[in-house]
Amino acid sequence: MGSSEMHIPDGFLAPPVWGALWVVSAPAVVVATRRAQCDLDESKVPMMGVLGAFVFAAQMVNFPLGAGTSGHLLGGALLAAALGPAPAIVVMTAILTLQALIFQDGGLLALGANLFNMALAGTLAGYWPWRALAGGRFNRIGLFAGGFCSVLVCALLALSELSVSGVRFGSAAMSLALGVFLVNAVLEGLITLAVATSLEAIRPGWLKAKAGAGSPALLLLFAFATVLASVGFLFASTHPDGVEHLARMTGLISHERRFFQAPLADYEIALSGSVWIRKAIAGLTGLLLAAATCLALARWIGRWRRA
Amino acid sequence: MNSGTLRTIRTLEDWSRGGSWLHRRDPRFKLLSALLLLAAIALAPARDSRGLLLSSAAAVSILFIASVSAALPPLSILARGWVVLPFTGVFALLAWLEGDPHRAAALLAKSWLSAVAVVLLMAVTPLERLLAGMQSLGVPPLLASVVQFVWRYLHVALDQLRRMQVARLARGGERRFVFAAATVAVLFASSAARAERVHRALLARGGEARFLLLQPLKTRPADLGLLGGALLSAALLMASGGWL
Repeated sequence: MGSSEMHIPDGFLAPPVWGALWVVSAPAVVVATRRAQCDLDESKVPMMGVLGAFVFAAQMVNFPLGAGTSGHLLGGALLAAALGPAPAIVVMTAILTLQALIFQDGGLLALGANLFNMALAGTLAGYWPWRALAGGRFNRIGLFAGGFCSVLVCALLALSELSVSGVRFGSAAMSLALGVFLVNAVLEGLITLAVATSLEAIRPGWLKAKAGAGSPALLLLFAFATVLASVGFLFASTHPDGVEHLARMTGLISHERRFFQAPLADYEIALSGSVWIRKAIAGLTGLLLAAATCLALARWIGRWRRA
Repeated sequence: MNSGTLRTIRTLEDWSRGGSWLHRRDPRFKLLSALLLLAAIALAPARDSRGLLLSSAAAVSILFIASVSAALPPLSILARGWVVLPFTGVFALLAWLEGDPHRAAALLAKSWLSAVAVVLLMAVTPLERLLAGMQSLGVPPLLASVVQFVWRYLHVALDQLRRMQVARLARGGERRFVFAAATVAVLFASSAARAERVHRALLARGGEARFLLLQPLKTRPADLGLLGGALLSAALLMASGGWL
């Protein structure tokens, strides 16, 4: 159960998939860097770097689970709780870049996808539940939920990107992978909680939420939407036919065809009529639909609550 | 795992300090050439096993020749790519069990060759020069300096972790979940304290956290030659995969 099993190497993702995820991740990382720069004073640059080295080293500590097995910390949720979301995204980006360059943990072309899964979605999914529940009676639940959601979201996104790219899983392998990832997510939650508890004993006050990040309910909803969206992505990518069917029923497919056919026509010929392009498009459309729905719902409920 | 990580770091540091023609090229052009090669490996259409074999052979020979010309041990460079095997092996096995041995072979070959291309890039480019190049290509300076800091203090953090593990073994070495959590917590607390010391030391020197290069980046005509070579290699890869 190494931490490296969620780092996608090159050669797995289809070019449209890693290309699209680079297009999403690169600006998102730049925005996070700007926010980190605005939020932080100068002293935080060494702090981010040295804590990044800490996470790197901490990922190598074996947590014995009995029966000769052991687990590892991934650290996204812990980092987000210690530094805040935007600096945590920058630090995770730095770590993933080094892992890809120096240790071949994840490919360079696939780095956009790995950044999307682990630095962006994973960090935010780890931050929101903790931020919503921190400080109060449910502090411990928040820590556990942060670790759990962060790894679960990373894993679901990685699995759906792989299946959109045409890496075929049998249903047995898929349920095995989901089981392993669920165990890993619980483990990350437990490790995050245990480390935070120890840390509170040594140096109290490190993981303290700052005020003014939005209402707890809204944050929880964001976290829930992220998890739900990644479950939706996985479903959409493994059942593109189902999404296509849904799209046809709602009349979306005719637009989709006209919209996508022209730019991709050459590509289809170049790859001599591969079916997965169409499947990938259907999967990606489903993916975006699910995400948009969840986020719109979260926004709307937030506005409604405030009104 | 811990000592293996330190060994990887040292090997790459040693390799990247060479003075060959490839070592002396502009890191921006080296990065672009590596990306070109990676894209060619990813896009080479290996429809049948002959195309896959030919394009893989072409990629291996390009990487081999490049390592020899940089006075690096070519077989060690090629062998370093195998770290992707645990991940790739599982998926290749799945594809093979699903009755698609060609796809299994393609996954293994492409992920291995891509990893070797990145190893070669890092073996001829010191990290700080690559980061300076990336910064001039648009990577935010804050991100680049965080990568620098992580890289510099990674040795320190790993060293401290090793000392703590030795100390734990010397005291009986009981393996328990809570002990591992305490180790990580202590590592966190001392890293945070170290970061504060680093910041004070920076202030004492009157400077902000900036990383300077001994030799500034400079583009020479030979760098265009490198890019041309990479373009030719990419074309060769695509052609041998049966694209033309």
